[in-house]
Amino acid sequence: MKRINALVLILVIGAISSGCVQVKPWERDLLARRDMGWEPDTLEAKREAHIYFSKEASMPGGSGGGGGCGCN
Amino acid sequence: MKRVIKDSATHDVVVEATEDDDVRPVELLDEAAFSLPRPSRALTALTTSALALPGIAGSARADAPIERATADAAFSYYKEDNLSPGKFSTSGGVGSRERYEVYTGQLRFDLPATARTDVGIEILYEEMSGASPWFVEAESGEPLQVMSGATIEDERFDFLADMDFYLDRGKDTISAGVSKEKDYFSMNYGIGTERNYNDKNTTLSAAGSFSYDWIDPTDADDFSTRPSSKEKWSIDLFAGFSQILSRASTASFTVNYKHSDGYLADPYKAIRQIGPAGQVIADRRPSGKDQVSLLARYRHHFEAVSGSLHGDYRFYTDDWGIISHTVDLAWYQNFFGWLTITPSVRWYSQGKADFYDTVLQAGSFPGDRSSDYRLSPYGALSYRIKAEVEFADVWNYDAPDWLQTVGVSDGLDLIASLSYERYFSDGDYSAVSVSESDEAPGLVRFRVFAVSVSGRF
Repeated sequence: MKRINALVLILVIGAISSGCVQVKPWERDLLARRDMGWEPDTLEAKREAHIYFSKEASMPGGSGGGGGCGCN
Repeated sequence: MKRVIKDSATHDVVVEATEDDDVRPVELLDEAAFSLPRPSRALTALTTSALALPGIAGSARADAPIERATADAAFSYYKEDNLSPGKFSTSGGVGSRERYEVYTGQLRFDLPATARTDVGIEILYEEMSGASPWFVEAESGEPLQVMSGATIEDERFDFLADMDFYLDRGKDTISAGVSKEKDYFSMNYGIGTERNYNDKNTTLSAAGSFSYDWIDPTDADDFSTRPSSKEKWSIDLFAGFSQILSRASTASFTVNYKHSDGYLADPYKAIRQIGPAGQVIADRRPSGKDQVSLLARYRHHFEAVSGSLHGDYRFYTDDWGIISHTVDLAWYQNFFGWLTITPSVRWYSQGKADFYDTVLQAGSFPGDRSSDYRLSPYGALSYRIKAEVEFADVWNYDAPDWLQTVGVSDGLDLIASLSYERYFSDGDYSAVSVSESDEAPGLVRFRVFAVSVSGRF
């Protein structure tokens, strides 16, 4: 049930977004900043995700597949 | 219409809009008569969507082919606090309070291969040592943690390779990797795709990855509760959506679903049955697991103060009965253009697994059982501070032709950083109150120190 709700949410957001503001390419200087990225430091993001994955019960969000570990 | 964009502290690029709403450079600085013009980062950045969701394994931002070879290196030191004497059980006669210590080195290379493909290679090596939680004793009612002896020493080696194929409206990615520890070997494969819409204001992405793991617990013969030679596999599906909201803000929403099958327990953990005939029996978990993670992210830049706000919320649930919430907030404060100080805070709260217990009641012998603190109900708070410096063109050189074909140009941009994190977990930080009999005595606290260097060649 939760999975279906998530899918519906994605489709609804997708439909709404097509009517959203359109930022032109020459207006994207701020968005191109390193500190505006989803994960400005890739290695740090992976390291942190691995630590939390090893020490907590949850799965990291995002598309990271990657190796598992025999974490204790 | 012409605009001047600042590429770095020293470079300016003048661009103008074309008829089809794209940009083209009017002037490019640093253009020598006989060398290839090096596209400015500002120009490349403007023509991308600035929305590329982190790929399966690739660099965090690129949704246009990268122009320059990049190398990233990081070293980190992780140290858990010693288990406090008040939580430590000496009943077994063995065990050390000194918990885990890990030294980690990471290396990543991103190289432009052809005009439309990039290649990435990532290597990790780490050394781990220290005692780890074994099972819990309920002496005089209060649960205390029995630890292994401080003899666990292990090393992990991780290798990952990925390729990005760029198309007119997005990119496709494939990846493959292996991970090896003394008692563990894993192979993983992944594919992913990303497409841009609404003049690159909207990005949709999807990915899938598969992993197969072999576990061969050390000293299986010495411990009656320890199995030997187990396997498991898992498949991970991802879908994501991101949207530019304004000139200074973006948002994304992603869903992850993972199914795991096989041996999912921890061979080094056990659980105690209390009572006169009570035994210590092996940790046992279901042979299947379904997990779902929903992640919402928001980024906003405040031009007036030269700072950016990051806000992430993750909701997680699985069919072992665990529900968790994570909130992560960070503030990136820029000074003088080359220095960024980033304080951040994270709050985490999880419920317990259906089959989690500190100890089993007398005579109780459930099919699934675990005393692992990582399946217990608790909350965690951590704070981090990071300082990063960025120097463009710190070194100029004439790269020979063969180096230029792999994207090495005639200058080096350098980014270096230092960071520190402090993490505490406790039943009191949980969103829902945790009873004393449920709170795991082995909840962990740790520190992480990290230093990193990145170069764009």
